[in-house]
Amino acid sequence: MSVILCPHCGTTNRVGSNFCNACGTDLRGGDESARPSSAAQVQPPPPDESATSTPPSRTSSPTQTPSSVPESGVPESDAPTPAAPRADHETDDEPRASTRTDAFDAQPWLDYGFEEGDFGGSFEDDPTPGGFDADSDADGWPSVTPGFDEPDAVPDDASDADERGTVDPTRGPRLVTGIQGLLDPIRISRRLEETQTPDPPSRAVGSAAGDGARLEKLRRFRNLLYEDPRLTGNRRRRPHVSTRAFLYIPWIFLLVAVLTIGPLVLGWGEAENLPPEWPGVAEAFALVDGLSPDAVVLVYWAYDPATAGELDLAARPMLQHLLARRAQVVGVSTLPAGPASARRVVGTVRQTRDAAGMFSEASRNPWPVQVAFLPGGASALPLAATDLDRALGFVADDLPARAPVLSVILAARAEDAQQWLEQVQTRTGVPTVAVVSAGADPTLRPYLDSGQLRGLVSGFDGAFHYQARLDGGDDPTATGISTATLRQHVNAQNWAHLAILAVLILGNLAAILGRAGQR
Amino acid sequence: MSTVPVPRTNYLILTIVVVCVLLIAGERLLALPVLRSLTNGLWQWVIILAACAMLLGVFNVLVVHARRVLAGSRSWANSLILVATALAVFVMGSIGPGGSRGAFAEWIFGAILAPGMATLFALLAFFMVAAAYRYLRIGGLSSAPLGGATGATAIQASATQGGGWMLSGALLFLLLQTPMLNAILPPAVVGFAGWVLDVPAMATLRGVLLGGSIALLLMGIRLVVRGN
Amino acid sequence: MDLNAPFFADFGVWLGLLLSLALFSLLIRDNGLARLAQHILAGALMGYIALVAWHDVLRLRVILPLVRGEDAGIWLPAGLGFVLVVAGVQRILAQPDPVDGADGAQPRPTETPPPLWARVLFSLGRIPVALLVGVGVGVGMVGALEGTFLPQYWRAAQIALDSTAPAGRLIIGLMTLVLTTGVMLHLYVAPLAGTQIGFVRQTLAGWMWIGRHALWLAAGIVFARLLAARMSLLIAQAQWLAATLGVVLTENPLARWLQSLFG
Repeated sequence: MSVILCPHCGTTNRVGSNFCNACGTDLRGGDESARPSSAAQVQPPPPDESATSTPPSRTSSPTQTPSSVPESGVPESDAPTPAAPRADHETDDEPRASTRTDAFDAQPWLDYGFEEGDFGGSFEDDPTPGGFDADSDADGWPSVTPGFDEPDAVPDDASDADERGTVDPTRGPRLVTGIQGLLDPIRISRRLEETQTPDPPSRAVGSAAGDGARLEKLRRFRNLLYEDPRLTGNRRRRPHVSTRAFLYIPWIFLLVAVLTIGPLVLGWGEAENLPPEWPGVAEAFALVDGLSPDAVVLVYWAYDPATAGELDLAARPMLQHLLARRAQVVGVSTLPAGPASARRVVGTVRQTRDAAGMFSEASRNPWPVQVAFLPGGASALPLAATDLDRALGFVADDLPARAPVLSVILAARAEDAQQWLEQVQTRTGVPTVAVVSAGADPTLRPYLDSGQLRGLVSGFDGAFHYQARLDGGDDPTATGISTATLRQHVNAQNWAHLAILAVLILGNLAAILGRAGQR
Repeated sequence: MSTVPVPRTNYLILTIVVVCVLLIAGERLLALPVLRSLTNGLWQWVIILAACAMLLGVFNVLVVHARRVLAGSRSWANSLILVATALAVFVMGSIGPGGSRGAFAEWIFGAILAPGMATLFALLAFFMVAAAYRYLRIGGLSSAPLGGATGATAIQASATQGGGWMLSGALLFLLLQTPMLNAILPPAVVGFAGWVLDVPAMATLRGVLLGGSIALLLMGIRLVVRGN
Repeated sequence: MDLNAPFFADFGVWLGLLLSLALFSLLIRDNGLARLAQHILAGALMGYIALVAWHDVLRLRVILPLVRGEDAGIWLPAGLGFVLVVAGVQRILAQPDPVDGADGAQPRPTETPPPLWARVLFSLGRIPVALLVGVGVGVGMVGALEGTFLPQYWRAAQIALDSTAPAGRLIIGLMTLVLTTGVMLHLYVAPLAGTQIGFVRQTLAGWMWIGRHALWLAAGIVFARLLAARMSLLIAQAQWLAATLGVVLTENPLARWLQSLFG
């Protein structure tokens, strides 16, 4: 499709247009005032390029402005030698100089020398109250910020096809000439992705920092002059910072709080649904159940009150089971608050068993559960494998005489369980069972699969099923200490998970609707 | 042109590190009794030195806050409370019978440490759910602004690719571990989730474990060989 | 002072409850009460850590054996620990004060070189640190090799290369092999620069794509389990709050005193 270029603003118009779609310049003045150009010659910039890109027909530099293009029509920085070839849009039968006079007879304001004759001087002599300080090009005409020198890639459909206009392709579009300098051609954005404003003048080739500041002022002044319509961004578009992000967080917090505390306080939905049973719980139970009386069990206590809310759910039934089997439980911890946590849990288990009246002298476990603190992290764990007496000897009143036959890891983090498996289990070869947080479960599954772990109890669901097996077993001292608490916990987890799913669905709906709105 | 001075290798320090590494590796691989007794001593030394390092760490925190109090900075009152509390707990606990297992230490543990630490970690649930709302989306992070930092573009690009996958894995297991939904899910879905955990997830995490262990080995070898 | 007396027990309950409520107020916004609670918690934790380190480790493993003469070899680690502490204290106290005392201010740069005794102390203090580092590195390397790499590699090979397995398990084994190696490729191989032969580059890119997306899937599963874990903490704390509030409001002598005072 053939197009013609406006001599004033450079906007591409369909051949036959009477007036420029952008600035209204009469395109009918002379045969040479508007230059026909084929679509192949004037390539629209690709959608993802910045708006600073200019077609080769107008300017070479993306930051050249229309009025900064001198009389020759070629940007100063790209001014060719006298023997330089014509631009792509030029044809050999189109002399350059002859087109100028004809075009400007009809529209004298297109003449670059128009203001010199009538007004004298340049804009630099007439600063505006707003601090406007016009920059000027080599001809004394103010330069403007780039962005208006690209002809619109898509020609206008509604134009008169009968008359043709031509434009001198060498002129280059001008924006600021005399009174025209105050009015920028309105550029209608036809492409959805045409958003970004051009680079500021300070980045123009050959322009100094001071020129950039003045251009910026000029641009701001021009923006002030016309408010509506502002169809294209002549100013830098600020990145959109959604304020919605700051509004939804309290609602999410409220939803989670209501659906978590509601079941606990108001007794919502006391359902009998069971959580899933993950592989490893049955094996862990069987191992502990198969212990002979007075077997020594080595416990690695790797959690403290920060994560006791979850780990206690499974640690209590595990300890209850061990005490019921009359195991001699000794432990180490690499956390400063680990031994105190252990004492709390063991005390709770013992008190509840005593209160239940299920304790006979014969079934009372004589061994106190001692947990020693070993600082140094993984570096101190090998001592528990190579010399347990030294590891425990300073805190335990009565040490077991035999080596451990089972080790139990009570850990909130997968790394703690890994360290035990690497430092102690490889040295002792003792079967190991892990009671861990739900978050550590997936990372430890490979160890269960490879046989390094013989049992794995994780999260509230693992604790529930371990407790259920304990309650349903043959041990007469099993009282189901934590059954009621666990059921309440499982019910609350029900609602909490529903809240999470609702939040995820809402989030994705918001994203989908947001994208649809943008389109 | 300025030059960055190359740090000199301290050969004494490097020798100590290399000897420790060789001792531990030899004890595990060769299982000689003499090496076992040496490494037993080494573990005990580590326990004692680590305890000294813990005391140093606490001392550092107290000095920082004490300086804030002396300098009269903005939150000097809070810093004073922190220092006073720490000193009170340490002194009273040391004086009292039983030390860290005495009545005072247990009271401090039950009244302050246990509820405080548990509450701080309980808050994580809220923030994790908010994060799930914002980032677990089909299409990933493309619809969530990341503060406009240009460096976030690469993160956005990579996260956009995997957001759907991460969401699908999370959704599957959230459905499964909800007791109410677990009861009504068809057995095929439950079986599929179990298969995902047993095969692809396990293979992936095994790859992560292998990669992590290789990285640790390489870092240790580099430390020993290059000396820094 | 009998800390088991009911008053101290009640006071402890109240203190824990108020501390928890102050920390929960962080959900609304950061406030002075929450900051105060955090500082009290941090101070108590610092003191407790120091107490445990002193009482459970240094007193039992160093001081008492030295005093009783039970273990002559304890002098060497005790000496190293003493050097570590002294050198560390000197370095901590030698840190310059902040410039203006405000939070987050930058420290004033050191102007004069340290004296000779400080430099000697610093050099001596590096020996116990080197010991800690060396043991940590040795333990980590040997443990990673023996405890993770070899068993997991062996298991992966067992699954993937079991020629006697039925067809279904063979497919699963191959899938396991592709996924495991794909993940490792993604973790270790940089984006392909285009210098390889075409089909090699495409194969590697596809393999890494599989590993990358498998990682995303596994991350989603881990995230789901992590959510369950954090929900457990919240639910447990809510249970504790509800129970404690019930105790405080109904059975607590302080509550009874308040009721009697205000009717």
